[in-house]
Amino acid sequence: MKKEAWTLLRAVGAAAEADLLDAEKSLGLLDARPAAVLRRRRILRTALLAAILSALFVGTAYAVWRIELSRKLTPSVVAGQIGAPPTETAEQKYYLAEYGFADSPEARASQEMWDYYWTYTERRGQECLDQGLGYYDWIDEDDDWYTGDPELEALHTIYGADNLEMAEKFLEIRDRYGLKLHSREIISPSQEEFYALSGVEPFCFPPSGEEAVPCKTIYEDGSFVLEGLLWTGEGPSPFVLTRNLPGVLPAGSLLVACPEEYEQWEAVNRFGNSLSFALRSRYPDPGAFTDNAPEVDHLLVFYEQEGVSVTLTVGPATEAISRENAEALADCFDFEKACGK
Amino acid sequence: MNDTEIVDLYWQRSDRAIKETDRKYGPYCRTIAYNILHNPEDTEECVDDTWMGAWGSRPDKRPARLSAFLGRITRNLALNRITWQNSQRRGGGELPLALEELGDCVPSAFNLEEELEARELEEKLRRFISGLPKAQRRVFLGRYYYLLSVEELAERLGFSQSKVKSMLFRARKNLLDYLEVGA
Repeated sequence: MKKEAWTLLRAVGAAAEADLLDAEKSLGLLDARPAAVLRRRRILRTALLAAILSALFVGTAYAVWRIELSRKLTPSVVAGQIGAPPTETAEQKYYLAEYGFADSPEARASQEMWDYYWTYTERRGQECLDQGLGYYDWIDEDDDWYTGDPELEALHTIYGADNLEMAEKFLEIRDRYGLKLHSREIISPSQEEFYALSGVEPFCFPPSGEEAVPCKTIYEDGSFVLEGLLWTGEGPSPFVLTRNLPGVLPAGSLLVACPEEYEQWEAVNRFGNSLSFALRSRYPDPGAFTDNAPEVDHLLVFYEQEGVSVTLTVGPATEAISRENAEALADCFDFEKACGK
Repeated sequence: MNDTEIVDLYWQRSDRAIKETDRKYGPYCRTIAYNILHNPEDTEECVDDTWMGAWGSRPDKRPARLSAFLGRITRNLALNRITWQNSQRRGGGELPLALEELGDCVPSAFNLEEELEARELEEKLRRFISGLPKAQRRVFLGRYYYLLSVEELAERLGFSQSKVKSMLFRARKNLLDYLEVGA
């Protein structure tokens, strides 16, 4: 063994923090769940925060809601627990339109893109398993298929395209719906940089007065995703807040199941924003891989103004979220300012 | 408890800081230490030293995630417990194998320590790792930062073992080329 190898091993310890966070996450080093399913959950990680709603297509008179949840849902090809073997009782899941309603070009293109992604992945993964290979062995891990082409690079890094065939399908969908792609993403910009790039004024006002948005991703067109923790009653719960602009293919995907279990109402928060709430209470954690899954709550808050959509999702949260809690959480954000108005 | 609250506990000099850190990040840091030391007692001591190190340094940048901060301390402390001379005699873990593999990345007739300052080499490695394709980077860090076995990497990432080996081989070749250019 060369002494230099030891020196190299030590120097690997200087890896950038962002790379280490990505590696520990993808390797499941902080996750107690079975490692084999972790990667399959990667693409819909954000979705899983919002995951698994339920039906919604009940015949009740919810037409009074300003933004009806049912109008934002489209059935997906994904069924059952992502990463778990399919079962006959697997529940239907729906994509939640991140921009506008389910019939908008943005939502339809997003649905088509993700349906393609899951169908393609399942087919190629199964082929590999049949050949005695790993489920993801079909992925082209080299960078030569996208290096030097900004559009393909964006499809790989922002939209998760795993090879050229997938990227070309995404481009075809984009063209058919006349949309644009995000071309650049900036992860974890400083507070000042974030507000400068998004063009919005500060809009997060947590009760503690502290920084409530530790993790941010912003795109060159001003769309953004914030992730962090908010206190819901007794403890912290994960939240995701997205701002989506018209004419752009959304980069993420929110999956939802069981809609009839969502209670919906409308309320005005302390900033005078008219908000639509949807809350599902006390149901088994869809992300748990055990028989005794803890019960969780899941909250969605919608706001739209002049063609800009802002969606807040909280949970699945082990801490119970009451209607009062939900409205208090919505008081942490000035949605109108988040829209950039 | 979230990371901000844990960091606050360090700043308040609360003895709950270490308890909460151990509860949240104990398993993670033990994995890192054990993969290097391959000895349960040494691993516990190393993790205890990590908490003491964090206590002494009081994480002052209020990082979004404490894991990378603590993991880096653990890794350095674990490596400090062994030297390159005795590393091959340590247990039956992945360390000797990983070192043997990294030996392939050293340019011939090139003494890294003489040619490059430690900081310069670290900066080169940081840039090299960040420049790797995403999947290769994860496999590379899994192997040479976290000292995971090829079998474990394959299971965690959903690749076959042969694919992991091939990705590691390509990454090491790229590293050799990268260092040779510098040489």
